[in-house]
Amino acid sequence: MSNLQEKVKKIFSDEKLDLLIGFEKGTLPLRAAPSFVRKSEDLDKLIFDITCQNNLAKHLLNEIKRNPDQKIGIIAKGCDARAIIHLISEKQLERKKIIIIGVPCCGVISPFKLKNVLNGREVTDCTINNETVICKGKDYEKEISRTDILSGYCLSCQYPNAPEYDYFIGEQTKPAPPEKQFEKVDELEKMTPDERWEYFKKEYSKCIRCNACRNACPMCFCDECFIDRNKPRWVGKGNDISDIMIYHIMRAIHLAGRCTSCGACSRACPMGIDIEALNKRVTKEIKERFGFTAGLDCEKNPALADYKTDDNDEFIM
Amino acid sequence: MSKYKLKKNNIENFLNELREEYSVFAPIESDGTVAFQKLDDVKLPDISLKRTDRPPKEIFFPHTEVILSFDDKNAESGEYRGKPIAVFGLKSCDSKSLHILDNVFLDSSYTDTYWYKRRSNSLIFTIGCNNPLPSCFCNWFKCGPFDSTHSDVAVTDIEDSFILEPVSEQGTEYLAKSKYLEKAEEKDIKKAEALKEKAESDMPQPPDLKKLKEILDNNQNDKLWEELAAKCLGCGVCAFSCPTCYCFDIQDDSRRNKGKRVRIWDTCQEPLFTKEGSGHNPRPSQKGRTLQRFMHKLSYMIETQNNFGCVGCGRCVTLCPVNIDIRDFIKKVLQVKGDK
Amino acid sequence: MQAHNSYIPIPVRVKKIYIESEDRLLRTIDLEFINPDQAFDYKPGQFCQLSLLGKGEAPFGIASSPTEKGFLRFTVNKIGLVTTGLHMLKEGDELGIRGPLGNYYPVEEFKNKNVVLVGGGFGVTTLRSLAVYLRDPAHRADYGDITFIYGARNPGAMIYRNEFEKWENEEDIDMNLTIDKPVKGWNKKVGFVPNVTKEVAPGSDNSVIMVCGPPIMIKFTLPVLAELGFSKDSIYTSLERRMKCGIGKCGRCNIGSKYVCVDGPVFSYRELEKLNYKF
Repeated sequence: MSNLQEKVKKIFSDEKLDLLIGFEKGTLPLRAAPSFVRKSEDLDKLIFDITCQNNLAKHLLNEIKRNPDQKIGIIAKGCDARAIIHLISEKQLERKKIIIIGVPCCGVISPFKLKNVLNGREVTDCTINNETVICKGKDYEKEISRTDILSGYCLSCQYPNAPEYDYFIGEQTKPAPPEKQFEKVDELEKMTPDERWEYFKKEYSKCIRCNACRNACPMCFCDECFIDRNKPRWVGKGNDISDIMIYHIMRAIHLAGRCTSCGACSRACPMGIDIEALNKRVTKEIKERFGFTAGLDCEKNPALADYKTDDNDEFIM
Repeated sequence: MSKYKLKKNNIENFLNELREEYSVFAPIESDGTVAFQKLDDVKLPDISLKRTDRPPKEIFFPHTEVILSFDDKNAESGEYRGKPIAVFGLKSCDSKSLHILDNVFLDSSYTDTYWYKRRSNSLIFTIGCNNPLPSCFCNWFKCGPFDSTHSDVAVTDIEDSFILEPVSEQGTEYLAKSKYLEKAEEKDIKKAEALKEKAESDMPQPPDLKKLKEILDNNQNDKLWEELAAKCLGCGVCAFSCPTCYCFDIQDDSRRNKGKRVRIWDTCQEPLFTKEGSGHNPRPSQKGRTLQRFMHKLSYMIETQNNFGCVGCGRCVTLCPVNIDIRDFIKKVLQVKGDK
Repeated sequence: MQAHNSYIPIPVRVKKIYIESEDRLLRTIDLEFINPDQAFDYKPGQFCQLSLLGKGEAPFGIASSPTEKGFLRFTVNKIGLVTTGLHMLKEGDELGIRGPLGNYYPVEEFKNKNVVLVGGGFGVTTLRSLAVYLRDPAHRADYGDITFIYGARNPGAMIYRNEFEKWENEEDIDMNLTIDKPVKGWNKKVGFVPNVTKEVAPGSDNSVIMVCGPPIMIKFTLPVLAELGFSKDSIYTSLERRMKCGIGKCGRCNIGSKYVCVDGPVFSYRELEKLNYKF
């Protein structure tokens, strides 16, 4: 039994949890799956490593919607914890019903990046080392640097450890250098508007409107999303580039001061669209204007749900 | 039937010749994603042995398709009016998927004009999979890496050239008139056969699915469904990457009196898919929606067209953000006692 | 094999409009074909997609009977984009129609039997079609007693009220109108549909019964029918589902392996049971 399983077992019984949400080994190499454990003996399947790509706060939210009367423990990377904290600040979750179990995160794999690094070949076996991942397939073996396959969000992550937790299992990890946080945005800001437009057009034209980004996002919890409204209809569901752009821009704006930069959206995207650039741009704006970073404090009102007399107001007519 | 050989340095000529008569689609890689795209003077195919990331259904059933355009006075059907379509480089699972969709769109009670117009007189070149991927499981569903049943021409990649074997009458006719083919030699044919045998034996033995439908039909309350639903995000990745998922929505888009009616891929995983105007939703839970998708493929389609609706292409297996793996699910179902 | 394009609506014109309910949310429209060559024949129980270019389409049961010539009747509940658009139409306005779609009440099988029609609220539309068809002089002799039970929340929510009240005085149909709770000035039956059905339905011998209305009404009527001895093969209902194509392609109206738009909307209770359907 691993250290993680052992410690979680103790927490499970000490806290009398009804449910533990964590990760288990997936059916494919380098893939984990969300795991829902209701019996202590099943905790032996828990894992945590660079394959744990989902944001479990989404599943926590769904479970609470299904049955609000359960006490749930959750394995939390920095970003899962931040999403939970932010959802608490938005009164979507109750702090006392949730046991946050922090785990040290060194970043998670982006499946799309992995696929392309391997040039479409699939993995049958793998070894995860400190700096590299060794992938074996039917007729190849390849050692890949972790940084080549980690999610872009992880490479710029400032909060790899849960900012607030009930338990922390393992040693806390170091954040990325601060200048990395908005590296992607900085690159885009250097472009001319025309270049940026071309860039976004190229990226978003890949969109197949599967809504995986929205559905993987813990902050997208509306019962009726604006894209599904038809009286009036705000945006079409088809692949018209203007509809696609409106969808992604509106989603980014709805996430202003709420996005915890977990990157679950971009890892869920089957087309490998750069969702990070736009969402991070909004995050940066909120940070600069309001000094607010989502998901750090359960008690603090979200930036756009708060008012201060000294708020920067030059954009208000 | 005679087999032909197409030297790889002639592939461009062959496809250009094909383009004279057909609108030709083949796999093209752009920006990390492989999809079937229409070839033109600039675009060259990437007939690698990779599976396309996007399913081939979009050739005949585009993601967004105008079914009607209108103004104050007229309404006109947006049906396809171009050249017949040829597809080069479909895998056997994918050409089978077209057959399954034919059964849906061209069934005896109603013909779907839009599918029909693109699909009629199409010429399908199915290429054998020399190296089936670990996530491939076509052999679970009475198909195999070299199955060419639902094609016009069966193609085998023997490194320096392709071996082409006509399957249908239309395929026979076309190959007979191409300028770039030569008769395949015995040793080439042997090579192709060896590749076929190797690929087939490379794939793990499939489980016995004879009882699958019966077990599923009798176990709709099983906790396996709950487990799936708990993980599922309800997104459209599986349905949109699936070569046989065909659900669509119809929406009108108009400004003033000019506009169009379009049909757009949709998915039964969306809660609003079945929500009625009154607010009533006959399928309100994720469990019901997950059940719908798998039951449709593994049970209902056996009733409606005597085929599993899954062709084992493996796209959803690799793309699902939460690792819902239909193979794993089927194996677990088969362990459930049928009499429960 | 290429037949006509089933997605293209046929042009029709609004011939007449009736406001049905006090809240004005139910409105009946009679439509006529602009080009009589495009007129289609239909059977009671079938439905059509009414089509407004720019707004969309919505499915409605045909409320007129094929024996009534010169118009197609639909009753529209104003709830969404398309139905609001349909409510805005004036007499003489043009729109599109696709149909007839789906199956129908198996009127051939009903011959020589007593027919009981049980409707609730807005779900009575195709029962009107069936009743008019059965009562048509060309058909009436083929059928036994006809009993019609129709319930609404209150008198103001009752559709086709004038016509149904006329039928109360006809001898070839036993008409029973009921409202949920007593209201001043209402001197007919009061009570929920299941109870009234229990009271007035004839025995199940040689009878068939159609039950159409809100799922909750059907749910509570079914045990009453079992009590009265109706077999599962003699009970029919017409289902509603969200639909888009209406021709079994778009995939959203299925119950198990059946599509409500082509295999239904009319199902016997026996068939629904096989499909594991629950009200």
